[in-house]
Amino acid sequence: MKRRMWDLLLILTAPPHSGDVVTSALRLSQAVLDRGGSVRIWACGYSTMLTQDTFGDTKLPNTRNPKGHYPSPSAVIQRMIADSDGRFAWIGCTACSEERGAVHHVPQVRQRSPERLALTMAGARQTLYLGGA
Amino acid sequence: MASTALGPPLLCIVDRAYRGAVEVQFFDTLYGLLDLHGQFERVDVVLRGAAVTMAVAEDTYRPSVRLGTMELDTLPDYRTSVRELVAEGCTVFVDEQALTALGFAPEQLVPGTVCISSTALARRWPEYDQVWFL
Amino acid sequence: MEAPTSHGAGTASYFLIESKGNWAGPNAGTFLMDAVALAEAGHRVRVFLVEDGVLSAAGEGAPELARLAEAKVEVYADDFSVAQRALTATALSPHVVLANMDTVAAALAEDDCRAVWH
Repeated sequence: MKRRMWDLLLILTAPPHSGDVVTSALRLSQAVLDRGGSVRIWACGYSTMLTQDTFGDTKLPNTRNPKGHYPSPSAVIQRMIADSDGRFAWIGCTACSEERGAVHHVPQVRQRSPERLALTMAGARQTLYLGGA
Repeated sequence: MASTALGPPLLCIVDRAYRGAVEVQFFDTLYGLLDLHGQFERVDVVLRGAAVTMAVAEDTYRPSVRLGTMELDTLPDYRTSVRELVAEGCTVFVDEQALTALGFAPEQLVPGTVCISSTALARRWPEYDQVWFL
Repeated sequence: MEAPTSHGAGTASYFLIESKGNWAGPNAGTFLMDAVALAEAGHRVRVFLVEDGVLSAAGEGAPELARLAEAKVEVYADDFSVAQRALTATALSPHVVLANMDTVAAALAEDDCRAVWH
């Protein structure tokens, strides 16, 4: 069976809420998708928190705008997956998830051991490592 | 009976900027200040380093990004938050050295903010019970 | 005796993405000098400033940008990051061109492009 080749693998290691790397990773992914390409994000470190099912669909209430709609990070990612027609996917590193107690991923996340990182890279034409863990 | 006294005067210094957009949305450092300042006698804010740009008045940035079919238009709106802090009685100090090093002039700041040198600002620390680097 | 160079050294195409820059901490300018070194070694080098990296193009601009220009490196600044940081209200370095993530996506799709994120 011929292995699927993804156009881009982003290895996301920097934590959310510390800088804009998560936003950049999603923006770059969208740009690849807009060009008809495919992209996978491998989440390491604290970025494994982004896809926890404990978030629910929305963020906590905004006390200054209680009627506003604020999707949770996991909802944003699930929506991108749903909208991508199979061209956007998310992998959670099992070791980083366990290290941080972030083991309740939403069902769309594929969980992989770091021992399969090289293999996952081999399944992409281009890999970009976003450091900063 | 629980005390209803206000907390002490705080000086809150923001010297790390832009700590997330999609995952953060409204829940950024400036929101934290807006949400909490009512509990304290006084909360003043300092923007230093790259954070000075959060107080530069501009009309180009749209706090919105398209992801999939979703237009996520709830990204942090820094200048609006700074305006709200000023409107709600917080003094927002902006570090003069960082501002000019980035090519801005004090006149370009959101109205009501105070451009001040680092030295002059440090000399104000005794006015506050607490100085927090957020 | 000098260490042998790696095989297949020839010229390469590098797309270097700077997300930090000098305003995010010390030594961040070193990455831009990596770009200069690669260009001076004959490789094709493009630099994309994103997030706090765009601050290097503001005010007097990081001195590394002039070196990049001398080395014929194309330097781009992400328009979203520029607007987010109110940098449209000031002049950016003349060595920098505004671009967006489409530029990055297109470069990463090139067969021989090596991408590095700092």
